[in-house]
Amino acid sequence: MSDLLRVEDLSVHFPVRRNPFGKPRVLKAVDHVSFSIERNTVFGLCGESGSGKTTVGKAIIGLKRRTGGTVFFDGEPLPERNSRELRKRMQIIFQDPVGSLNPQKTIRELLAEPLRIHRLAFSRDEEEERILSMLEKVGLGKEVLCRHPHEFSGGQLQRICICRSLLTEPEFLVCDESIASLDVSIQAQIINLLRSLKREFNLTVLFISHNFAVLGYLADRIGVMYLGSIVEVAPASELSSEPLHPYSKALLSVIPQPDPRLERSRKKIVLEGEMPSPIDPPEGCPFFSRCPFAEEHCRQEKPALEEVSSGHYAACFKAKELIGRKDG
Amino acid sequence: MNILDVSKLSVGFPSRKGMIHAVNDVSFQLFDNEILGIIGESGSGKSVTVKAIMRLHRIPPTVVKAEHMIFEGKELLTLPEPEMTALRGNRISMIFQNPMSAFNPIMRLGDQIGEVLISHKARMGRKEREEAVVQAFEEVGITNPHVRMRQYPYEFSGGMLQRAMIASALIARPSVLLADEPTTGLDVTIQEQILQLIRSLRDRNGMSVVFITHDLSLLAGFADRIIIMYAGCIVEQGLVDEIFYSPLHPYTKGLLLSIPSASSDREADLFQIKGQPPDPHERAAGCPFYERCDARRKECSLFRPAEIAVTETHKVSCFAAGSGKEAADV
Repeated sequence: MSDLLRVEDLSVHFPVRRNPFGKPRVLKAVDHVSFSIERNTVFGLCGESGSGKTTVGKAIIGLKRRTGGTVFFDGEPLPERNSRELRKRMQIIFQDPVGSLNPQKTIRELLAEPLRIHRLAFSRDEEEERILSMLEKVGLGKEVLCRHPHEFSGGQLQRICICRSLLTEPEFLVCDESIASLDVSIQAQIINLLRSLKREFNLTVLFISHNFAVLGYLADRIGVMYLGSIVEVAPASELSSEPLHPYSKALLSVIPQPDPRLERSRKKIVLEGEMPSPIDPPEGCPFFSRCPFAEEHCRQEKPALEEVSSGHYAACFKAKELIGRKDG
Repeated sequence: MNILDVSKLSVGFPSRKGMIHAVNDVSFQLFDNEILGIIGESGSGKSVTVKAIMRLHRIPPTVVKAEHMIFEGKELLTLPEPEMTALRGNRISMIFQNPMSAFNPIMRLGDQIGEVLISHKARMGRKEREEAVVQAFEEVGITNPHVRMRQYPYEFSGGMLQRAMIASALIARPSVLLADEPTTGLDVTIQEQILQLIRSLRDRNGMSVVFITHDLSLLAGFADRIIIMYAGCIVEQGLVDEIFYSPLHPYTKGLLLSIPSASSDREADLFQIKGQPPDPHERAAGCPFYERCDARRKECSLFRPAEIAVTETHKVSCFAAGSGKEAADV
């Protein structure tokens, strides 16, 4: 199997100024991130707010300017601004379906837009036909076409967003927290829908979420981000059973499980404090300030993402020592 | 002993399309020293219920009806407003989802929290009050309280501000804390800090907590008892273990089955509850879950199922669950 997407050393930095005359400082939203996604697989990107996971997705799609590194798509490096052809092949679904659809347009207009921009339909009839067949795939009927976004619930709107992004028949889809704003009973519906569409259209997916339980179920491989860096990448099942990086260990230990007996017996690692600011981040390991295993060495040097066991990468000097340790 | 006893509470909001029945005939009790979780989707009436207890709805236009709503021996429904004001923030406190909008952005946090003491502990002097605020900050784990109390809300992070809100809610030592999704906007590592804080404050000071959330997993390790709400009704209530290990209502079962996890079968689809929650304008005569239920029968569309007590603590409102056998394999 080959990689559809390879991210090498991606950085996205923003200049920020406290006051208009002050010296600009650098906010390192994403700092030297590398990973790759195999064709027809789901790569999950997990992290807390401010970890840079959304920025990674946007930088790949071309919605944020990359300040360093290269993204290879289908073997070719992406240009600074993605061409129309590339934009057709890569699509994104956002967290808030209400905010991503123009409230003044009808669903028909909203769905016709991608077809017109990319000149994918040659007649009105063909346009209608393509819209209807895709609507059916996301579980909606043609009665929605004349209505406006405000007439729908969040779950239905998310179906419309999914329909819209798939109309250009993309190969690569970024789902940025696409189910986070939905109710629990609707979340399962959308997860199932995304899974079946992924199979049907042979999609490669970058699924960004703070909900590790969802990623554990959906993703083939998962990357954990902290303060702009990927600290661990592993197959989903391996990461949930044997996380190696101290941050992943702590994160997984506090994710609530729907099992009261397990919850009462298992040990939780409660991290002290909060994630440091990505403005002028620490020199060494990004997790240094909260890590229970930190040593002087970690403060000075940033550990690289290294393969600890087959297919399992961690950015920690002590990853090898931590194998098999459950105490965190 | 119960500290709060709510019986047949209904809340309605008039709208252009007719009355919105947000809460229908909800009855429950809150016991001493327990953490009671209320779970439901948006629009299920969980926040509206709690706000009705605090009497935060404006009446009219809102219509609040109940048989009784007794807190520490007082009937809240008919309590004169000055006495209600004396209870709020003093005996019964509330914290909200978004701490940023709960605080006044142009007032120092210490002063805002001190206001609770000004209104409830009139005889306290300025010095004493400041000391109390410092102590409250220390109690909720805000380091450097002397500096922090002179700062403004924007200088706090979300997690820290939530701690400050808890400090403000608990400074007068209430016997009941109503928490309306206090961890929803927070990251999981911060969420765990807040949950542990609420638990330890409960253990140390003794109080009852009503914790509203839409995350059933969160309650597994946190709550003592759980109430499940759907479309303005309580469909099931019971001890944590009863809800998680022997759920009876089809909605509860569906919720539990639809939680994804790394250990679920990746080849199989997730269980999904079909359809969508009902329109709050049209409250059907029958069971609110009828449209989406896999175990529905003829009578379900005609009559609303009454609450059946399966054990002393476990109650369910479902015709199918009452007869026992069929409900087990839904």
